[in-house]
Amino acid sequence: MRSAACVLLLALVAPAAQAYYANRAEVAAATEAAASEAKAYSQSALIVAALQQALLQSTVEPLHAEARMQQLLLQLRDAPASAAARALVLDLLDHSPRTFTDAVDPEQRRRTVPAFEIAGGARAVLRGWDDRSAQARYRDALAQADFATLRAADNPRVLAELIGAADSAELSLLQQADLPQTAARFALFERSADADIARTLLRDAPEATTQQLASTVAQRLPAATALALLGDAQVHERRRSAARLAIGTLVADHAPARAYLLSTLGDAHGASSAAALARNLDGVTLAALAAMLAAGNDDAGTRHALLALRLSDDPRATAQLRAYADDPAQPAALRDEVRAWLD
Amino acid sequence: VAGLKPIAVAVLAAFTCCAQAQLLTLTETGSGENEVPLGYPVPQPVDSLDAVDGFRSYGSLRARLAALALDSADISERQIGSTRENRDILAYVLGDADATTPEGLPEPAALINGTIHAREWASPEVVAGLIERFAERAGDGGLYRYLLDHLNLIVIPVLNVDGFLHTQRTPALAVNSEAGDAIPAGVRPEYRNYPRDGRLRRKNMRDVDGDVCPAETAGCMNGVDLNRNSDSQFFGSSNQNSDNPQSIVYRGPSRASEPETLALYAAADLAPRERLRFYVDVHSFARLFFGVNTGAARRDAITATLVQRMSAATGKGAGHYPYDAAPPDYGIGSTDEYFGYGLQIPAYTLEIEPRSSAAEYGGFGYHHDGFILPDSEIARVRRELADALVLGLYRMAGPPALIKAEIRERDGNRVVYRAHWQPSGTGRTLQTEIAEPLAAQTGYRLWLAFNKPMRVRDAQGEVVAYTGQTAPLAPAIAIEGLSANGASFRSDLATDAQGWHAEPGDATDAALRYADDAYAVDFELPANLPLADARRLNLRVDVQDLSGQALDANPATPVDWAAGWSGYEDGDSRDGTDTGGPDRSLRIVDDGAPPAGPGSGGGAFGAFGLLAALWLRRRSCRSAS
Repeated sequence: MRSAACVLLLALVAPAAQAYYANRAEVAAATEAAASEAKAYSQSALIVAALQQALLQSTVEPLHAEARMQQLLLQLRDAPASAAARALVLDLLDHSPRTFTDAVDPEQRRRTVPAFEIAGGARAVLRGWDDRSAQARYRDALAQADFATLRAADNPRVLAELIGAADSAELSLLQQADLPQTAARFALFERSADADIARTLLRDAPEATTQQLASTVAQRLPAATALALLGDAQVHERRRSAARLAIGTLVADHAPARAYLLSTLGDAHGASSAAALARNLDGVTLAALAAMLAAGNDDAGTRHALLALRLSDDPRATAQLRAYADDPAQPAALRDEVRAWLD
Repeated sequence: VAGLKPIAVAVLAAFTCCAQAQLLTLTETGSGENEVPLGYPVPQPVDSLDAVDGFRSYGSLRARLAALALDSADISERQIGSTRENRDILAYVLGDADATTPEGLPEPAALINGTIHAREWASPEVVAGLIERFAERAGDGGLYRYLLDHLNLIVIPVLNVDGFLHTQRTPALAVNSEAGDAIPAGVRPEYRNYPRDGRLRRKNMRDVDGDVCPAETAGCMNGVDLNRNSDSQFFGSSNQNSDNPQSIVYRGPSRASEPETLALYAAADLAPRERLRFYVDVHSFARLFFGVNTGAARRDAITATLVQRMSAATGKGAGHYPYDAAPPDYGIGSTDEYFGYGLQIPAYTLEIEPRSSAAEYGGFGYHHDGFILPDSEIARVRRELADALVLGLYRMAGPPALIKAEIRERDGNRVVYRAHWQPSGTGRTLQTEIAEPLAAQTGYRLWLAFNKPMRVRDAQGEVVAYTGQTAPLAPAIAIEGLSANGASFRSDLATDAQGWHAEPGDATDAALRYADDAYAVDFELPANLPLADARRLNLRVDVQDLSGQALDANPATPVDWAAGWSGYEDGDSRDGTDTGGPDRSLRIVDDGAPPAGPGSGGGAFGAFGLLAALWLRRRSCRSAS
C-alpha cells in the first residue's frame, strides 16, 4: 500500500523532476557514504522503509537518494522476499534515472549517462529472489522424484545449476526425468557424457543456449564417438562450422578425424574443414594437402586446401604455398591469389 | 639517461600503480566478492566461421574472411601491416578489379575500420558482417553489384589484433585499477578506477606481457590508445589524451608511433587515399555517430545529413543513432579527425549500441557492461548496421544522374526520341540520335535510365523503400516546353512504382545495367498542348535515389568530391548547393537556347543564361529608344 502511495506521489511530482548532473568523484563519494549507511540495515522491513524514503527523496536530492537506493537494493538481494519488498522492487523496475554523470568511455566526450541503474538493480534483486525460489522448488521436486515439476521448470538456468551440483544419486534421477529444457539437457550431457543427448542437441537445439556444445562434445566423448556425432549429416546447419572446428581438435589423436576433414574440404562447409586442419597442422596433414594440390585442379577442394595452408602459422605451410605459386602446372588464377598472400 | 627513464617510470609504476588493482570476474548472476553480475550470460568467443548469435573468436573471423576472399572475385585480402606481437593486420578490398566505373569515370573509395579498441567486441562482428553481406549479395544484379562496380571499399575488421586476442583469452576476467593515471589539476578524474585489462582492455599491447596479464601488476595497464595516436594536429592536444603510458588514453610516444596506426594509413593508401570520400571507425558503445566539424561548411552539412539517413536505415528512425560533432579546431587525436580534416570527407566514430548500458537489454546495469553486448543482440545489430553502412556507401558513391532516354510510339514501336550522355574525358557529352516532334493524343512509351539502381525490392519482388528511407517510389516526370510565342507549357505524366525494371536487358523495357536503374511509363499528351509549333520541348525528370538524393541536374559535369559535391548541379544549374534537382537536359525539340540560370523561374542553366537574358533585354531597350 505504502509502495503504491509512493508511486502515486512520484507520478505527480515526476514531470517536475529535473535531471541532475554529478561528476564521477561526487558519484563515488555518494556511493561510499550510502554503502556505509546501508550496512546498518539488516532486516527486510527496515530496508524497505529506507528504500521508500530514498525513493521519495530522489526527486529533490537525486544524487544521495539514488546512491542510497542502489546500496539498499544490494542489501535487499540477500533478504527474504516479503510481499512489501517485492511490490516495491517491482515498482522500481520502471524507475527513470535522475542523476546523470559522465560516460565511462573516454571516447564519449560530453555525453552523460545515468549514474545509478536503479531499474537494473531492481531486476537483479528480483532475479535473485526468483532464482532462490526456483532452486528450492526444484530441490524439493528432485527429493520427491517429482518429474512433472522438473519437466515444467521455467527457470532452465537454475535447473542446469542444480544438475551441475547434483550427486550421483540425484543425477541418476535427473537422467530419468526426460527433461525437455535445452540448458538442462546440455548440463546433463556435461555431467553424464551421454552421446544420445549430445546427438539430439547437435541436431535440434537453438544455438544461443549451447554455443560451446560442439567443443564440449569433442572434449567429453571418446574421439570415435565424437567424430560420428560431429560429422553427422543431420547436425543443425548453423552448427556445422562449429562441429568441423571441434573435429579439428581430435586430429592429433584420431587419424579418422583428419581423413574426415580432408574429405570434406570441397563441400559447403569446406572452409571450416580448412580452418580446423590449419589449427592442427602436422606433417601428415601437410603431405595430404600437398597430394591434393598436386592434381592441379581449381575446384572448391583445392581452394580450401590452399586456405588451410594460408591459415596456418607453420613455416612449412608457407613453403608449400610458395612452391605452389611457382609451379607453372597450377591454375594461373590460383597462383596469382597465392602470390598475393605471400607478397 | 634517456634509457633509464622508462625503467624509472616502470619502477615508480610498480609501487604506485596497483595498490588498488583488483581482479574481477564477470558473471551472469553471481554476486560474490569481486564478482560482477551482468544479468545475462557472459559472452564467450565462439569457434564458428558462420555468423552465430554470439561473438566469434578471432581465429574464426580470420578464417571466415579469408575463405570469402578466396571464393569471391570481388573480395581480396591484403596485409597492411604487422602488430607489435608480429601478427598480420589484414584489410579486405571489396570491388571489381578496375579503378573506373562502367561509365569510365574514376571510382570513389571508402574505408571502414574495426576493433581499434580491443574490448569492443561488437565492432569486428559488425565490420565482418558488412563483408559477409557483400559476399552474399554480390550477385544481386542491383544495389550490391552497383556498389562493387562503382566503389573501392577497404575494410579492416580488426586493427588491434593483439589487444583483441588478449581480451578473448580471458573473456570473463577484468582488472579494475586506478593504475597510475596521473590526473592533472583541473582535469576530471573520470578515467580512474576503471577496468582496464583482461576482457576490458582498450589499448594495444605495447609494453604488456600477455603471458602475465591480466593480473594485478603494473605492466598490464600499459599500451597505447590507438584512437589517440593519429598523425594529426591534435596529437598531444591534452584533450582526453595523456602522455602517461598507463593512462587508458595514452597517446603513445609520438605521432603514428604504433604499427596499427601505420597499418590504417596503408589501408587508406590502398583505396587510394585521394579517392576516399567516406570513413567510419566502428566502436562501441553509445549508439551514436561522433564526428568533427572541420569548418568546411558543405562537408560538415553533408556529414550531418548522412548520419540521419544511415540512422534511419537501421529501421529505428533518423534519430536512433544521433550525430555528435566536435567543434572546429577541437580534437583528441582520433582517426575520424585524421580523415575528416585531412581529406575533408565525412568521417565518423560510429559507436554501436547500447546507448547507456546493457540495462537496455535487461541487464543489471554494471557501469562497463555497454562493452559487453549480450550474445542475443549481436545478430540484429549486425543486420541493422550493415543496412545503415550500405546506405552510407550508396549515398557517398555519388548522386544519381539520368544518362539515357528513349521514346517510342506504342503502336508500331517506332523510336521518336533517343539520347544518352556519353562519357568524354572527365565529362559527358549529350548524344541525341533521334529527336522527332511529339504529337498530341498519340500513345508513347518513355524509358529512362539512370547511372545507379534507384530502388530495391522485397522478397516478393515488389518495389519498396530501402529501410527507413522516405523517397517517393515513383519519379515525377513531365513534358514541358515553350510555344512559338514563348509561353511555357507542361504536362505531368502519371507515374507509379511499377515502372521500375528489375532485369537488365537490351530492350528499353528492361533495366540498363542494374536492377531498378531504369523506369518506363506510357503516356499520351493532351490535345490542347501547342506541340506542333513548339520551339522547345524537353523532359523534366525529378526523382530521388533510394537514399533520397536528387538528380544531378546537369550530367555533363559528372559528380565528384571536393569538400562537398562538385559537378552536382541543382535545378537552377548551380553547383555547390549539394541538393541536386530536376533534370531538364534532354530536349526533344531544341531551340538552341542555353540552359536558364538561377532565378529564371522554371528554367535551368546558370549564369550564362542570365547574361544572355540581360544582353537581350539591353538590345530590346536600345531598339525601343
